[in-house]
Amino acid sequence: MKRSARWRGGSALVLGALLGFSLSRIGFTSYDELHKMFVFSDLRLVLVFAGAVGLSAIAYRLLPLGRAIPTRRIDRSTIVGSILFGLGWALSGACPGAALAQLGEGKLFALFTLAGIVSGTLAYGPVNGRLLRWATDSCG
Amino acid sequence: MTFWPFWLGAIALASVALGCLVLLRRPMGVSGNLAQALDPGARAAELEERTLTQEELRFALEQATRDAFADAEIREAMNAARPAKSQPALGAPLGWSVNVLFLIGIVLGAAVSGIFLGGASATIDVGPTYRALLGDGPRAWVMLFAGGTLVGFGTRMAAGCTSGHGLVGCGRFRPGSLVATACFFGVGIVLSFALVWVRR
Repeated sequence: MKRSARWRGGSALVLGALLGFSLSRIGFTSYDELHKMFVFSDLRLVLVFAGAVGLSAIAYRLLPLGRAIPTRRIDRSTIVGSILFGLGWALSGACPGAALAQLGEGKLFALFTLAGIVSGTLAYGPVNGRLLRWATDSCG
Repeated sequence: MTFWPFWLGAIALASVALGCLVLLRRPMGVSGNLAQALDPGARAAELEERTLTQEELRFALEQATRDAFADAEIREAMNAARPAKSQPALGAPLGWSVNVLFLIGIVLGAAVSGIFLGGASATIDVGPTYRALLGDGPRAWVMLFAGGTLVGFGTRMAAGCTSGHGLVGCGRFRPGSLVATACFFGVGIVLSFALVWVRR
């Protein structure tokens, strides 16, 4: 790798590690904690999320980042996809990052979750290409 | 294991999101890392076809009109002033190995947490809540796989997850991300209540 590519690779590894560490320490890898968030019996995780969004919003205001990639319009792919994701999240207890973090923690059952996530991710290409043909937005 | 207080978690997640923007010059988005790691060609094509902005569209229409009706001089002068192709102010998409390294990093970071702080060891115990609502053993594994498939498929379709749409998108007040986050949180809440209700 070139030097700058090595730097990006190293940064990615460190940032990913910080994310995995944080997800674990916060409790996003625990179905017990996540469920408490979803049924409003403990707001800690909600406050984590809201707080993180708030802090990020302030940071984005201060940093010269340019426009976010604009939303074309509210795509049905965004809405339907998010609905499917929400269902899967409550059913498996893991968003993509959390599933990987669960694996790191030694929760071996996360292998089933990850197998599902990989399958779903790979299936989307052909399904959308041949059946749905929906435009897909971006989160950037 | 004692979990972090909310403010520490908030600072940590915001820092990682910020770190991605500053060090990698890309918004954080785990589902994007996964999609690009697993299916790089398709994702690139999806991104390609959505960067047409209003300015470019208007220019294209004006250019077609000029080509049809205007004099040669006007055509030459005005067709030359095309708007710069819209590019996000951020850098190029991450290479395949950078995506993979980020994902590996998540596993390793969580391992550090588990080993050094949580005393965790390898387990197949899904925990009391999951066991109560969805079962244990092979039945749970099927549920996890099914849920995972919905997560993988849905995040790819929505082009973002809790990090991409939730943290970064909402932080930048992107309407699409705000809608997405409301949807997946809302549905997660509804389904969770439903699971409890069914088990009553």
